[in-house]
Amino acid sequence: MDAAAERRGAVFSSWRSASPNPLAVITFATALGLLVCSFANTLSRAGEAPSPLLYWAGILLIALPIFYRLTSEEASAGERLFLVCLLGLSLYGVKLVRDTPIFNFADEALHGYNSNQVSHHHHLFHINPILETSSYYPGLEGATSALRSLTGLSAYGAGAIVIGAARLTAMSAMFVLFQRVSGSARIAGIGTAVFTGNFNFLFWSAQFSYQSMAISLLLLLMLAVVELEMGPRAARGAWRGVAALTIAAVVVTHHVTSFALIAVLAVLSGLAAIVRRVPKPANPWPLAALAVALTIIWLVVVASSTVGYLSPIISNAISSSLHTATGEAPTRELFEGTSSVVKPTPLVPRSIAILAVILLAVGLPFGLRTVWRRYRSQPMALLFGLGAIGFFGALALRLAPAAWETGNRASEFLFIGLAFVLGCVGLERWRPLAAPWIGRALTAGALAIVLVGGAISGWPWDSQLARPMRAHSEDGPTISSPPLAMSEWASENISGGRFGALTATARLLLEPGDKKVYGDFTAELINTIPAPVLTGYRLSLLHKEHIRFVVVDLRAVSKDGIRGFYFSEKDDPKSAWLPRSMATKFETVPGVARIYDSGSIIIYDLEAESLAATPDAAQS
Amino acid sequence: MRGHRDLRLVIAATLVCAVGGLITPLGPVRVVFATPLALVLPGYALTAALFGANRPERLQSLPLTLGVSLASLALGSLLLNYVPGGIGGLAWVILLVLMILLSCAVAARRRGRPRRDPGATKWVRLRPSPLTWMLGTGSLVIATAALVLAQVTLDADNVAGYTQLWVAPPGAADGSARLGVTSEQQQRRYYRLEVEVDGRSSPIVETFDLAPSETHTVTVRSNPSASPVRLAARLYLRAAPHDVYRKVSAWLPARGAL
Repeated sequence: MDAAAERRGAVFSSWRSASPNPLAVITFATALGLLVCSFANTLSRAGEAPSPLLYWAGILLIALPIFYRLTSEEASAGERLFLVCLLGLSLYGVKLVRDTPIFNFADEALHGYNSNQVSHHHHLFHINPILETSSYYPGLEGATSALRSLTGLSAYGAGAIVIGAARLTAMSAMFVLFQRVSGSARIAGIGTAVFTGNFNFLFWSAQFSYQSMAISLLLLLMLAVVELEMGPRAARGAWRGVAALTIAAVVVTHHVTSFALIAVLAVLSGLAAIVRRVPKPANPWPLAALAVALTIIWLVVVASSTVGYLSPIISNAISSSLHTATGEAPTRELFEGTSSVVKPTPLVPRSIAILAVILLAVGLPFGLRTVWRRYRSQPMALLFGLGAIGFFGALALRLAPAAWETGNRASEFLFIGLAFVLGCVGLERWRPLAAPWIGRALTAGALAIVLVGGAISGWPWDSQLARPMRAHSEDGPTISSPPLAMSEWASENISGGRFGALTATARLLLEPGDKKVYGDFTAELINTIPAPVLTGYRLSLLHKEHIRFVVVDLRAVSKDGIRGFYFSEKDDPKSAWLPRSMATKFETVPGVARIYDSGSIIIYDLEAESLAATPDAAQS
Repeated sequence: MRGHRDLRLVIAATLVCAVGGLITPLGPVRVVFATPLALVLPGYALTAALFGANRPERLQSLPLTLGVSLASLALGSLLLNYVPGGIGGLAWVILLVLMILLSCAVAARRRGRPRRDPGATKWVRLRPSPLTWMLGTGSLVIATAALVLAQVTLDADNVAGYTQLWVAPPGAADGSARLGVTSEQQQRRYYRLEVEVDGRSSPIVETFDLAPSETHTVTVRSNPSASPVRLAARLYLRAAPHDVYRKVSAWLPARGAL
């Protein structure tokens, strides 16, 4: 048997022994952890308010055995690849068992609607009324359409499979990338495990959204670039093909990731030109040029509205950061509640989140030292080092009110670099004679803190567990939450007409309601709906945008894209409700009809009388 | 294609998945055929075509297969967008099958004469111990149970029930409107519905009870009129007969009364 065959055989050699394979034991623990998380979510949906410890114990049951095994010397590269994929998929499972199953995340409704439009019309690019730009980047919906067309699955079902495949791609591509750069499967495994501690990993990046798919393709592209430089010369043409295909797919899938891709390739090209190596490796500048060309073509020909969408976000982030830095504006309070119904994060989880960031910061200089000593001749390793440092810059953006979201988005890309750098720290190799296991145990423990702390930083403490959108009533039959029931009613009883609604109801009217609904910034709905009085100016805005149905949600969480989808509780305080004048002001409009009333949600038809007077128009 | 066992397997799997996906009536069963056809086989075949004889390392196969599949689906949907009929099941099957078969043909040509890979047979010689088998099977069962548990709808006594009163926007055909009361309450409730229509001397009054998730509907027609007629409905709970619980209104279309 040659050496290669021996290595391949070794991956699974212990399967033939009588004792259980360590992978089987770890997989079993992971499945148990997922079951515990599912049980905690189930209790939460039933209103039993389970102890958060149960849920976090489930997460640790999933992650800790994997972390500990990844720190070992004896695990083979194949085993480590299996473990990081298992980790990524299991943590994705934690998101799935939190779903109802129905889209629960604000961005999922946008892409679910786009996916439904592709299924209805058999074509891409049907306008999304809430986020127009999203319909010009149809890569995710296009990929999902294949599964939906072939199986008849819903957007949720097909989307869950596609995002699962993207998650598997991301984990495996990152592992192979880190292994190629570092030459060590152990560093690759630990680095990929560190990545699960990025703030968005558990929920935000697991949602059915274009960035979730695009970032996995970005990682594949980075792998292709490294293989072009370090892989066999004969395979370079193939990797160039993979890179070109991936670049094109990212460009049609997500705007920010395509810009990140250009930045990655441009910096790599610059670093490759600077770093002196013999023999000089292939510079990826042709790929950078291709990425720039395709992105510009797509922006000009298809997605020109992207510039108008992103530029205010970026300019606000810059001005907000400057105002905060100069003391002209207050810093954003971290972990604080945003309203009377949203409480601040308790002290213990807040401490864990801060400890996680401290651990990341403490590990950084050690990791950077190793990167500089061992890998400074590699442009990709240097890029990772720059990304790791940049992550802490992005962290500072979280303190500026209008910049935190930009910082949050940027931090996920930068965390790729930080993950590699921290994978190089080498704490797991610390083996004092008295306790040779201590280095591994400390590394696994630190990874667990980073994972849990990242999850706490990335998603509100009170929303880590599921809440009920549907429930069995005391008498037995199933009942739905007010916004969900409203969207289902609208889907069944109203054909045509534009809706105007705020965040939570707007999202559910999009999916599953499948209605043409306009959100916060159309016709200044964000100001018009909460206002106590309807002025002529605001009414004219509604008419100008042809908003026929206005949805008024009297719940304080109606503007909350995380908490606004669920049932109210019987003992909700009065502060959970907004003034009724928000709704009754529309009754002063001549010819209006109040067509729906569920107590908390009221719908007005602004054109009821005029359309009744001209029945033909009503029919059309 | 002779000698390239993996490519022959890919072609066979493609044909089985394509035919199975098209002829299977049940959606959930079609997932078994469609998922590899969409998310695995295109990536494997395209990668094989790109790499030819310089096959990627084994660890690289997973990200390449899945990632290239995702990329080809994203770009394939753009292609289908501009063909007659657009994006649909048959179009996807044809595109994917053609893409995979063509890629396999290119791969076989680029690989040339097959070489024997002594390590390739290792993967089929797995003999896990009984305990490993049990743990593996148990893991699958537990993970499935976790996902099934997540889909179960439960009693939630703490959630606040409510009732919807609604009127569907009237159709023009007969000048009628359909009113509805839908209970999303925790328990059976008793209601009184009063509907006033302009031009009628007395309101329509109905009393009824609804179990959770039940709906009571009333169709209201206007008297002949030259202009739209206003309808107002009020819902009362029997427990509080004088407090308006819900109210809606509508305009009934004019109905030839000149």
